[in-house]
Amino acid sequence: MSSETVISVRNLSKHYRIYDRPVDRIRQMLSLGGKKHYREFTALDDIHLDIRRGETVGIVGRNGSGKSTLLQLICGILKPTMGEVRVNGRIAALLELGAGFHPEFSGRENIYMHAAIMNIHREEASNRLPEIAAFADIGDFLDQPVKTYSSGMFVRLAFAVAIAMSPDILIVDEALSVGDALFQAKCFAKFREFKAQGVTILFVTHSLDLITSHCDTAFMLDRGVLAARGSPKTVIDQYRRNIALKEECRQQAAFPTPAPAALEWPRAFELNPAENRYGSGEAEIREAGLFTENETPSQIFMRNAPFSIRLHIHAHHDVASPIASFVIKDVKGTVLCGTTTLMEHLDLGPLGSGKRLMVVFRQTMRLNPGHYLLSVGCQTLGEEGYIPYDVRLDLVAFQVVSDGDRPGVFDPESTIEWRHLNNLAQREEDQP
Amino acid sequence: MTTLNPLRASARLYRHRYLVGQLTRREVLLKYRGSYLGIGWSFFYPLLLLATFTLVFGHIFGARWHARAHPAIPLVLVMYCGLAVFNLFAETAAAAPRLILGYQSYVKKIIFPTEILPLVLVMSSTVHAAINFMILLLFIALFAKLHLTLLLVPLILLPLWLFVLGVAWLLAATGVFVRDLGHVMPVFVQILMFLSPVFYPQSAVPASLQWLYHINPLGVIIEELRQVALWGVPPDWIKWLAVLTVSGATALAGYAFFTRSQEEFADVL
Repeated sequence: MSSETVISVRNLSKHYRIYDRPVDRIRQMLSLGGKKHYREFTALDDIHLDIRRGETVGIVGRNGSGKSTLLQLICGILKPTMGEVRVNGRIAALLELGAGFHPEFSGRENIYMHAAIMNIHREEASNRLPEIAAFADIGDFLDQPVKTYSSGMFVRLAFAVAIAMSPDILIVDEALSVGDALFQAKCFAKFREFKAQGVTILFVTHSLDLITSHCDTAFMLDRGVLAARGSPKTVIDQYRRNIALKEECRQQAAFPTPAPAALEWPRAFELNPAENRYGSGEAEIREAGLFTENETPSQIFMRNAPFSIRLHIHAHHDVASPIASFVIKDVKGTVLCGTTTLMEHLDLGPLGSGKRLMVVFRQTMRLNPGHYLLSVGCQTLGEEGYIPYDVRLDLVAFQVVSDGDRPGVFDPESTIEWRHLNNLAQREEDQP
Repeated sequence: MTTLNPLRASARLYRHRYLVGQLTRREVLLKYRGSYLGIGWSFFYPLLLLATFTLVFGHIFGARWHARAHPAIPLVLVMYCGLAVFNLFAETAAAAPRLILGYQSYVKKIIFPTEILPLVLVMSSTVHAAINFMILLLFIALFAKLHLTLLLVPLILLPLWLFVLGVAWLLAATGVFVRDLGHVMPVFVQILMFLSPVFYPQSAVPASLQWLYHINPLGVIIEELRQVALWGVPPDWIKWLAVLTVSGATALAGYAFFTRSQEEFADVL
């Protein structure tokens, strides 16, 4: 293990024995080899991964995919069935909200206890207390029993304590989702500070945008297998695709490349060769693109200019109620905006086999200068959510330009008023 | 096997001394938190017990028991010696099987050395036991004679402490896998109390049953304690050494068993 690798996981597997009846456990203990009285459940299967110092790593996966088990194994709380985990450095883990906190004791007392568990003695903990109190920002509640806390206060305190213990590795499982937006922003500011100090951060979240905006690397677990790894954007795209697809339509939608003559606007756009396309294929998005105010295809737009997004849909089967949608992402993969005809309360009506449909979304370009990706989709609403007919992720890239830079992703379109307030008399005059 | 090396085991536990101290403090505080008398209950409980004994054994059963007891020592003190020793064992043994269940989130959700939990349990029982022994000392000073051999009491109690610790480790680990133990132990502790010379001297036991008292470390320790604390007789060092060996082995076996099975805890809970 090189000095830069702080977490090294090799051939890691975790199996659980499921006993149908409690008595089977005893029968298993008493039986010498021979018959198995349990069923085996594989929570993790042959995982390999290396995490370097200072890396921020996000883990995604559906419920039950083994994310939490992996974190517990890395923390050393669970014992691997096979393989090994090597960790180089002190871990602070937030695996469950308020785990290890005693409800009867005050926040302050719990801080000391948590410090003790991390082998930080009273004096040192006292030195860190102001920092913890400031970060948690729960005021007088610090001296109230923890049982009186709201879940928001709980997570604030737990997080404040974990980061104050100066860990080499910070492991966070979902806990952050409880905090409010302001607190999350504070946490991520802290993450960036940690990152600069070379602290390794490992977190599990269902909020995919957090991963694209904060992680260097992402891993996707699917039913105990490490299904994808790499840049957050690639992994998230694959994950989105995975969760969108139900078992029966998991196969890639294979459409023949249409002849240019059959297209409305042939070769108007430079399409992304690495587009991520999936769906059942009952309807096809044959073409999609962006158009300026005067109806010309374009991949460069002025900020604050009107523009449209057009989808050209062909039905290969009868589809009862198709939905058209678009989403714009930044190059890291964070979803910035988008809508669907369903969200806008429009019913496109049934579309017979062989029929074609044009959908035009018109809006103003509010995005700040930069590079963006357009994804489009044609779906329908099933009992368990959207069923994709044809989804084309990151189909076209486009650029927004303007006369000047603004911070952030979109133009707030501020109108600004101002006047000089020179003296007190004048200010009083302003008062009604 | 490394876990059977007493030095290494002690070193591992010693590393967590601060945490053990903090947790023990918390357990002791927690026991009385919210009650008006607080830690005062640790004093009142044995005092009430002593009063009851005096009434029941001194005045109701009185005459018959006096005949067998040592003339100069109130019988209540003889029994209290037995009870002080037995309580340390009883308190620990009754709680140990459910100990780890009570700390589930420590086992499953945080990085925590679970092997110190039984030690914390024994430490907090020890705090209560220490109060019992202080009261015993007070009553000896008031109603009997303070012998120089009283100084040997800590030495007599050392095997007791090791034995209780070993039992705590064994029961805590087993209780995770066999939850019935939590129901069995309180009954078993009751039975053992009557099988140990708590309310009677060992000499009162018929010869045919004496062997039962030689294999019970608690019985031996209780008798030794009475010797040095009440009667001013030095202990039987051979016996003491034998009990120390048995207790030390129990502690080591308990620790080894616990550390070997603790890896499975998170899977089972």
